[in-house]
Amino acid sequence: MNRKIFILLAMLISLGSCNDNYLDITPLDRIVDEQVWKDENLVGLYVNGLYDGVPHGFNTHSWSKLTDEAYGDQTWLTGGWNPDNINSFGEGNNYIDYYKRAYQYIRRCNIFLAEIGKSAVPAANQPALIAQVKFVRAFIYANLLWRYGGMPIVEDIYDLQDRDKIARSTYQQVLDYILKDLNEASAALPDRYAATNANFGRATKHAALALKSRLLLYAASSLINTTNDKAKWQAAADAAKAVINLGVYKLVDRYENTFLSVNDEIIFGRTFNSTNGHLYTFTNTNGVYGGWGGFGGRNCPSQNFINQYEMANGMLPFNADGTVNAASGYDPQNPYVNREPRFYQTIIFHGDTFRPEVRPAAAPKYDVTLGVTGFDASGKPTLTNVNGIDNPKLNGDNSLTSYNWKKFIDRNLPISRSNGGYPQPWIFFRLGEIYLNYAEAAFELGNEAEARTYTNLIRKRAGLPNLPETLSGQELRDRIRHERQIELVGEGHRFFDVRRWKIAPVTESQHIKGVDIYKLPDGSLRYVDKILIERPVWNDKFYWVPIPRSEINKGAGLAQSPLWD
Amino acid sequence: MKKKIIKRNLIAFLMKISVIMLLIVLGAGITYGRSGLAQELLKRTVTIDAEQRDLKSVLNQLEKSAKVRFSYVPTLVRDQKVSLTMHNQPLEEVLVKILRPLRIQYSVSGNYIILNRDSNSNKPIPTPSSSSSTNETTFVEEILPVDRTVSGKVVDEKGVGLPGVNILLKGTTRGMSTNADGNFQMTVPDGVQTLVFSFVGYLPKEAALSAQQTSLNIQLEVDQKALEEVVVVGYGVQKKSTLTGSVVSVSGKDIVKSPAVNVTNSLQGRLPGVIATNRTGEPGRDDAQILIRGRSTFGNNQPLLVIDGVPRPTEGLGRIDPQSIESITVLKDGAAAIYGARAANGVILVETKRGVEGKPRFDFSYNQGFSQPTRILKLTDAVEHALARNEAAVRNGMTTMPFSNAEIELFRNGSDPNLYPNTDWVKETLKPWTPQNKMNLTINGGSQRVLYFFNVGMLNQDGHFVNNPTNYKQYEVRANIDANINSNMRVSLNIAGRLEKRMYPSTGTWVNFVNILSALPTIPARYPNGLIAAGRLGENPLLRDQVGYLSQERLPIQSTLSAQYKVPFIKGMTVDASYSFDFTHDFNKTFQKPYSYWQYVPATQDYINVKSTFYANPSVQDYFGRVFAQTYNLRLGYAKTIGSHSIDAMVGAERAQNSGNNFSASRRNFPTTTLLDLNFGGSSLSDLGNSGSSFLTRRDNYFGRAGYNYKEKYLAEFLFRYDGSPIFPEDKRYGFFPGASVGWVVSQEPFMSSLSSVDRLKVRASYGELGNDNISDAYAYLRTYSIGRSYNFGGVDVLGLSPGVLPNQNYTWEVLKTINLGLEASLWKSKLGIEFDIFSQKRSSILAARQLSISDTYGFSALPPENIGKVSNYGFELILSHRNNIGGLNYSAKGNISFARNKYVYFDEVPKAAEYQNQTGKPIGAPLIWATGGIYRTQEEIDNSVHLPTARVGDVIYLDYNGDGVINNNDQYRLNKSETPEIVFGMDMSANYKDFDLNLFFQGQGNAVYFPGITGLGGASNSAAFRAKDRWTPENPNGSMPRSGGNFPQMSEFNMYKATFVRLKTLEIGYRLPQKLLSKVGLSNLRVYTNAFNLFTLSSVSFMDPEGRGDGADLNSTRTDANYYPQLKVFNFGVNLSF
Repeated sequence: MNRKIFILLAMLISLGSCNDNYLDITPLDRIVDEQVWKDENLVGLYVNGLYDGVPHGFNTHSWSKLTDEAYGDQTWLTGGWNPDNINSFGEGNNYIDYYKRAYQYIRRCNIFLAEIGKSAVPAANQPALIAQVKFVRAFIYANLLWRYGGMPIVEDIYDLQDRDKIARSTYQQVLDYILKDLNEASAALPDRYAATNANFGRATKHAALALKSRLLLYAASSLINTTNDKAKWQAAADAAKAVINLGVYKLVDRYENTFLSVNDEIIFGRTFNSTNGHLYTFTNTNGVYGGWGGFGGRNCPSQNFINQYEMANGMLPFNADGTVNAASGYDPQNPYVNREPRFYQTIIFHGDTFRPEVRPAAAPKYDVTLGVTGFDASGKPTLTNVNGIDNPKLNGDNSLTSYNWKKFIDRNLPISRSNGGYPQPWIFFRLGEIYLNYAEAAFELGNEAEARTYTNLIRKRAGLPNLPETLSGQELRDRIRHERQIELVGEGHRFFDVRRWKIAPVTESQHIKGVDIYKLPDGSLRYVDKILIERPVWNDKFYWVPIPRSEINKGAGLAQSPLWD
Repeated sequence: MKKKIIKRNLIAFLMKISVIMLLIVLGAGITYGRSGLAQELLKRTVTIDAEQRDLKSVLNQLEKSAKVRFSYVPTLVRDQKVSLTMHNQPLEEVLVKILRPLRIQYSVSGNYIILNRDSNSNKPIPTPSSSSSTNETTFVEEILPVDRTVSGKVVDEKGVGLPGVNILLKGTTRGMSTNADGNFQMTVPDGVQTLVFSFVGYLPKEAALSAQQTSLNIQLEVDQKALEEVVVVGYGVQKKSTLTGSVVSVSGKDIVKSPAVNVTNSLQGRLPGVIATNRTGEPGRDDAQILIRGRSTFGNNQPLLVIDGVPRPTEGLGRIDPQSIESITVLKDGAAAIYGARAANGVILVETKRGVEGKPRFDFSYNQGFSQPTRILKLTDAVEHALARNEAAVRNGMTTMPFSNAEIELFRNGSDPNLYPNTDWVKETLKPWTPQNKMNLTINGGSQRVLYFFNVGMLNQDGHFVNNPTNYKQYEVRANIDANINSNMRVSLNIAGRLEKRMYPSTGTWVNFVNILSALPTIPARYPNGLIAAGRLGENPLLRDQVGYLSQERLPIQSTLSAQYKVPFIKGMTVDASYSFDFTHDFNKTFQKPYSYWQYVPATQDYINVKSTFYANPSVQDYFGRVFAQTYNLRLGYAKTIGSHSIDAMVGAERAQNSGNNFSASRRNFPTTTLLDLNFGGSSLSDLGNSGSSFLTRRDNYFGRAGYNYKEKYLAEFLFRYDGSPIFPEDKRYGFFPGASVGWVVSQEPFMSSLSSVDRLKVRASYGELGNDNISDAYAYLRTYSIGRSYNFGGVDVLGLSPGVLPNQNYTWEVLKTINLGLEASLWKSKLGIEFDIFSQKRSSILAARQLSISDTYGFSALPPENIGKVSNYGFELILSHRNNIGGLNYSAKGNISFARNKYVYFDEVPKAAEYQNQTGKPIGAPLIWATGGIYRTQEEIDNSVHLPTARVGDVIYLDYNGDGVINNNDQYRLNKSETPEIVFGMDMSANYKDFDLNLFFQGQGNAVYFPGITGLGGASNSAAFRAKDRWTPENPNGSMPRSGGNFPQMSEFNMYKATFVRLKTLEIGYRLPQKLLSKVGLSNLRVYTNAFNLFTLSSVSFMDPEGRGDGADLNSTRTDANYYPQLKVFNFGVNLSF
């Protein structure tokens, strides 16, 4: 008996004492660095992981809520954003606060570029991967440049203990750096991937050209090009023309179809699918459709924007001073008739029929009316309790402006947050934009005919008459910009356009409006504009996005964006 | 770095030497070990015929005739006489007859029979061959003339019959034990005899019987020394009287007084130095957060949990069946060093009950409770809400009012409940009372050979929502068995298995409370005809039973097999070995399904059924996970007393491995919602999803303890652990953690003997170095990547790599250096007990990711843990106790108070914009808050002050704290308090009179702040009633609350409340039915009682529970809003019965 015990104990001890490498274990739930560079497959995956560093516009809402396109986030539109709260405008705001994320991905790109030469990837396969990474890095820098102006160019791969002085480069230095990356990348990139190709969405030579077009257009604009250096406009025009001259892209016949699936107008985009897509459709359709209406109606088309839509005859409904342009035929008490076709393809408005099959049978049409018995002497309505089903009084997720977005919304997919997602691609670059880039640059170079021609291409597809041949000078410039405002709404341009054109002091000081539509007992309607957000007077510091104060306080040397404290 | 390696090697070397020595010792044992022929040896037959012969000569004779050798010390056989005649009987029988009356034990080793004095001489000696599982007469009757029967009763100090008392006729081996009532009847030879009564925990008593006496009643006295408290410490127990560390414990008896189903909530206020904060009462997720001596790190502060000697996941503490807990002990100071790198946050030791020798005892208890939230936020009603909305619109310059006067009137008069309801969401969606019940059966008993404790328990706790499947059910079985294989060896087996079943709706708890507390009172919960309306965002909490569910099953099984071996040839040496194997199995099923609600259509005056788009289609996700934990442990102990010197030493080694894997799989588009196995879901590729992972981690440890005392007067102890963990870089894996303590029992000194008022006085001091390696980013010294879906090309998802934390080659555990001074005293015969400890802790190398000093431009992914912080923490604990007896009334009171204050000493903190914002020098968790100055009453006040551009009359005044002429984040300053209380206290009072008993237990906290997250008013959500009640309006210009719609920051002086509170934690009244009555129905005990938990709370935060807000999904989370499952109040009725 006792011997058994002793044997047992002896065994136990020997069990516990011989294994010297007991603690040498590798974690089972992650890949260790050395393995990555030894495996061509994993290197490919490394590159795939970098694309997400480029912000797209479907992170909950479109960019509209950060501009006068929509009634949006109060803090933003009331000028409440500042270095203290800017970090809350990250992912959910399409990375308007992009600083930290950008440099994380830049570091990942830099690590790749440092390691690829020593990796197991055959030399012949390396250039194609390097070109993709350089394109992504260039796109990231471009997004930094547009938000913050000149930012530090980081090529070193810092480690935990490293400290270096960080200084902003100039706008031009960063621009040159990006262009150099793009030029180098272009050499090893394929021209394009067809819309049906499984690689659609990877970097291409054409994508690099399109990015260059926008970069140079922005750089030529008056915010940057303070001396109005024509050479910059020429570069912008050339870059746009280079894309146009490719001749492989064409406008989609019907405007609204441009945004629902990959097509030949799209030069570069980010694809999604129904399993792991974005939730744009769900988050932006209103409560009656079962969506979140932009979270309590915080991303709804503003009256400010609606008023910009031309009449079908190509005339503006309002004069420059804000009075109704009677000649256009616009009736403020019947505002949704005879507007230009893109209005009907972009906006859900009172009386519109949009996806009646997902609406209650009793209310197939969008109805935001407020029932009234009449108006008192001061014009104040006497409300009844019979309101339209889409009125925000019935559901907090209904629009506060009385409009909802139709653009990007797929008409056939169920509206639900648990649907897995929606597959509409986010369009980084499409031919329509390039036409307008070119028109703008051509105009600034004095080539008004060319500018009109390319603007009219856009108008033609929209179903509008050409701009009058007589239009010239500032009037023409305004119409080109106007065309851009309408055509590219929700695609992430307006925020930068009003700044680079330096019209933000005007547009960004206008109160954000919606409309109340009262329904009288006889069924007649009365439209009364309402102010939803009183906007403060523009401050020039809003031209650039501030860097979070915590970063400035680190004292690493990064300068705050201009005019911010 | 080199130095560390050398140190590690040295220690490993020492460890090996000790292991080798042990092997030699054991090897020797094997040489002498018997050959398995022992049984044969004992069966050899012998003949003996002795009359008052010397034992020594009898043994010599047996040696010859049985061919065996006896081994004994000469004193053992000196002056012992033997009278015995036996023919051809087995040696075994002969030895029993000879040796038992002489109180000599024997054991066989090889050809040797070793004789020892029976150490357990108060107890009857079992015959070796019979399995003496009961306490009935177990002795071989001697042939003595039977003359008379003596009967009587043995009672305890209270006069209650004592069952199982051993009775021995002095000078013989004849004996028996008392029956269940303490009665006995025994045959005794004629003449004057002496009976010896003995019972564990009582002083033995001899009673002389006169020649003719036939009845005898005996009262046994409690053996104060035996009752002396022993305290569980790491790898062993110690007498409380000679303890030198700061250790507190609470017995299972006190824990079961609380009707709370979660043990962690029963600990609140019970253990001085332990801050247990219950932040949520959600069934199944209501673990209190436990901080031992407050916070001394801004890293992980979870203490180590050790159940029955084996480190186990801390989450398990709350779920142990209280009925199976013997004690919970907390090591607070250097005494925890025996647990090394995991001890810095303190160590909680749980011992479960074990069998007690005696007849089987069945204990049954049943508790039926009813619970409700302690407090729940009161909200504005429809009218108040509408008014506040309109006021906010005016303030913010909107031209259209959200509500017209006519509409407000409709809310007020309730004439149109379809469109203008006034909904009290709390009342609609929460039940006033919710049942819970607990049931338990334990069986406890055993013989000298085998002792057993069995427990089976179950509990059921329902949620507090109407139409919401929230429920927690638990089933636990435990068996603790000790088998004395022979006199030197004991083998124990503990097995505990538990099934924890949790059921929640498929939507989160937080969002559900948002849908209650933020839902507008102006929308209906139900229409007047009873149909359930949409509610906020179509997520009416009343619909939560239709959305599917989250069902969680957790099945932890913990088993330990351990053996203790008293090395027979080295007295005082023991070898302990244990192996434990724990297995936890998780299975979660998330079922989501579309649902519908009703909507009133004014135009047609109809109700239409609207399908919610919340979930597009029925989907199921199954999660399966398993975790294995294995711990091997081997210890060598040695205890010896030489004269006045006692030593007690132990060295040991322990290795542990944790591993596990999990996977989850999901399907969408289930055609039916009755069959919910994955197999029945949609089969198209886009309907399928799955994932999986696994992990492995290990530990390698060596530890030891050496204690010394001189006459139990001067005490000293040293302990250490050499701890290795693979999560650190190779040269940083092992660490040495020493602890040392000394004590002086002053009351043992001769000069104290004159002070009769002092029963006991001890002072002690300790120092220890402890570690903390609990970090979320293990293996952060490696540059790693995870693989996952990262992008989409051409409509197809592709995998991508994303980097883990930045590697740090240079990190290791945190180090806590702790000093403790303690004093224990008992005065005036326990009328006053004092225990006082002061401590100082300095934590360095605190592991945390850098927050601020690294520029984001470097582009680092998540930062790794680094040893960057220093925190100091100091405080005290005081326990005062009083016990007395007046007439039949026994009462006692025990109060404790703890204070712990910490501050950041060093922290990688680049100075903030201003010194007053720095965390350094301030307590952990101290928030940045806005300096505020009340409310603007006039426009002039605004114009004449530095103000926010948006400031309006009626708004909170933001102060320009730094005087730079603008209000921005630099005007926030760091508070010197946090939400963690610096003071916690408890007061336990109990009394019993005859068959009644009463217990009151108060608990509370102080020096903590609370910022209710309910400052919003006038927005698109409902608001707190107290926020709206006395708000500024043009008509109420002196209102105490800011106006609707203004900027009212949560973290501000204006919104700061003291989180101090006192609550009646437990109140219990019990009645024990008279013994006479019970014995008729065969019961030995029946007690009925009622108790209550969190009965009332006094606090300045009157609108919510002041204890804090938590998220059941994450223990360390604190919610800043009101949307959490509130703490509970429980009323309970229970019955305990034993037979």
